[in-house]
Amino acid sequence: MDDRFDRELKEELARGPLTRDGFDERLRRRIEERLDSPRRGPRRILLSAAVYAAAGMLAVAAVWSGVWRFVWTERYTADELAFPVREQVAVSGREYYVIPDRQAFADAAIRSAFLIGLRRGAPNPAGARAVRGYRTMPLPVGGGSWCIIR
Amino acid sequence: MGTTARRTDTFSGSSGKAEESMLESGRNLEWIVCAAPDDPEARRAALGELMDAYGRDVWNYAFSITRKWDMADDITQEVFLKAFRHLHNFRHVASVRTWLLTITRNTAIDFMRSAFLRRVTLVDRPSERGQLRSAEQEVIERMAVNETWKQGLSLPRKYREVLILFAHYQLTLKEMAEILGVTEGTVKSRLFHARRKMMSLKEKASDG
Repeated sequence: MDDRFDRELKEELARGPLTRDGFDERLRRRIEERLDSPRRGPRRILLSAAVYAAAGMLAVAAVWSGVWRFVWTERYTADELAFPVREQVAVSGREYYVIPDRQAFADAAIRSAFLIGLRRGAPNPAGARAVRGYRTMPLPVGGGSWCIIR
Repeated sequence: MGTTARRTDTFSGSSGKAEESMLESGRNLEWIVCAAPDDPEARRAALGELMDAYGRDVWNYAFSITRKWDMADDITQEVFLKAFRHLHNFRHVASVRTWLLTITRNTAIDFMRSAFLRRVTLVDRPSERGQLRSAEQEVIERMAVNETWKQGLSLPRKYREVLILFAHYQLTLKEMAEILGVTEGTVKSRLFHARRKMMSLKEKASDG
C-alpha cells in the first residue's frame, strides 16, 4: 500500500466517473421548476390523514345517530318496514298520502327527506330468478306528512 | 450577493481554482442565508450558487452509490430541494460540500431502499438471471472515463464509497467518517480493503 498507488488512484479518479456530465442544464431546470411546486411532507400527509379519518368518523356517527333516532322515535321495526306499504298504513294507523308518479313528487313542496328503500324477495318456482319487489319511501324532515312513490 | 462564476472545468472535485471557487461559494452562501433567511430570491440565488459549485459533485456521488443514471438525477434533484428547504439548518461546523454529500448519501440510501421494496413487493415472480448485462453495466462500460473508474464502480458499495470519497473527492478521514456515519477507524479499515481489491483488479487486468 504505497503512496504511489494512492497518487495513481487520485489522478485516475480525479475526473467524474462518466464521459458525459450527469448534472446538466436539463437537470438544473428541472430542480428550479420543482422549487415552485408545493411540497407534501410526511407531517402534512399525516395531518391530512388524521383530518380525513376524524371527518369520516364524525360523518358515520352523524348518520348512525340520525338513523337510530329516527327509527326509534317513530317506533317502526324492521319487520314493519318490510311489509307492503298498504299494510303498513293499516298497521301504523297514521295518515299517509300517495304521490302517484315522480313528476308529482318533484312538484311537491318537499325539499328534504329521509329515503328508505325496501326490497322484498321470494323464490320463483317457475324459473331460476327470484321474484323481487322494490319500494322507496322518502320521509320528509320537519314534521310533514309521509309520502310514497310508486 | 456573491458572484461565483459557473464552473467550466471538467475535473469536479479537483483542487486549485475549482476548490477556491467552492470555498468562495460556501462563504457567499453563508452570507446570503445570514443576511436574508426569509427572502425567497436570496434563497434561490443561494441554491443557484450551490448547484454551480456542487451540482457535479452531488450527481457523481449519487451515481457512484447507485450506478444508475436516472436514479442519480432524481437523487440530485431531491438533494438540492432538501438543501433549499433546510438552508437555515446548515451548521458551519461542516463544509458545505460535506453537508451536501451527507444529504446525497442519505437520500441515495432511501431511494435504493424504496426501489428494492418496490421490486420485492410488485414483482410476483423473480426474473431469471442470465448472462445479459444490466443497463447500468452497459452505461458504465460505454461511458466510464477509464478502467480505474470501471474497476472502482465494480466494488461492493462500502468499499466503492470510501474509495471514491478518498480518491475522487479527496476528503480527510474525519470528513469521510462524518459522511459515512462511521468511525475514522472503520474508514481506515474499509479504505485498506478497497485498495487491496483495486490492486487485485488491476493485476488481473494487466495479466489479461
